[in-house]
Amino acid sequence: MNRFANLADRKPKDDGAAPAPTGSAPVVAQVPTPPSRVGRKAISGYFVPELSLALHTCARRHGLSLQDLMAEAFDDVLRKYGESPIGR
Amino acid sequence: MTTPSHPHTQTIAIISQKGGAGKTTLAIHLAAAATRVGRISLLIDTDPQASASQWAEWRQGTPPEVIDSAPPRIPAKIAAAAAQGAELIVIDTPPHADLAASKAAECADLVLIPCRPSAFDLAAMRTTIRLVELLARPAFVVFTAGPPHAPHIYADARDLVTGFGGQTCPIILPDRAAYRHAVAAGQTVFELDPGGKAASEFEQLHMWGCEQLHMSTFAHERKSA
Repeated sequence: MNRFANLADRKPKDDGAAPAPTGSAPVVAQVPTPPSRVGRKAISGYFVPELSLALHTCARRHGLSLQDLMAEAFDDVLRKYGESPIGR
Repeated sequence: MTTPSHPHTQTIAIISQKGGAGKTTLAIHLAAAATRVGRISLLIDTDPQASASQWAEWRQGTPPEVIDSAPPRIPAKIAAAAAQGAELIVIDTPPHADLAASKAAECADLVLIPCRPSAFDLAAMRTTIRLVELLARPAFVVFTAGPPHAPHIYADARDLVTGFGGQTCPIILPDRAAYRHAVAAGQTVFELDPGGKAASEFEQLHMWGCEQLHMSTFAHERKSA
């Protein structure tokens, strides 16, 4: 019964098929940087879940991405403190 | 905003901002109940803890089938599963997961919000109700893991949910040892104790869910339809 197995992200364990790791240095997979993140820096913080949910719902209500909403909020706070807004 | 658009496939999202409300148990048993009446069901596990996927691994291919999904891929997976014949899709989500919860709710024909009848859980559930209100999806709070015989507790909890603007499911799923025993053995309560109270309560919940989704609960009716 594997009608939907093709839709799984994680593929079932393949016993014995995968080659055993050899050598001493661990191989780190090279993940390409998505174009939207090139030349950009992440800013993060830890907040209560209610704030996270409120931001997500606010963004959806106005048809924005969370990224757009946060960029707008940071510009607003920069203006509030007399700094120049940076924009996206 | 995505709207459910697969006429032969119904989707139920299980969401709750609070952990320990029995989301995975609810998801597993709803998918299993659908399988029991001959429906092709699929459980999409979006929880990084992958509890439902682990359970499915223990079952070694016994339905209901479980696949994992990153939240942004939920709509595409529903569309693909619908094209592959899925009749009922249940989406299990992790707690405190705004993206998974909103993506799942957005794609759902029915949202179930499992919640313990306790003050902390009910307070946390308020944010979940706000989310489904925003997405305009039919949603019901399902009281889970509470005492089996406590009508006053459930009456108070119902009043609170109504006060938040939410609706409650008339079927209550009290704490039963059968859930723990069944899940730990890679089973459902239908398999562990088919005549037991837990199985009976989930049968009732499944029938109620089908009514909400306008689905038949009997295989013979579906075939003749």
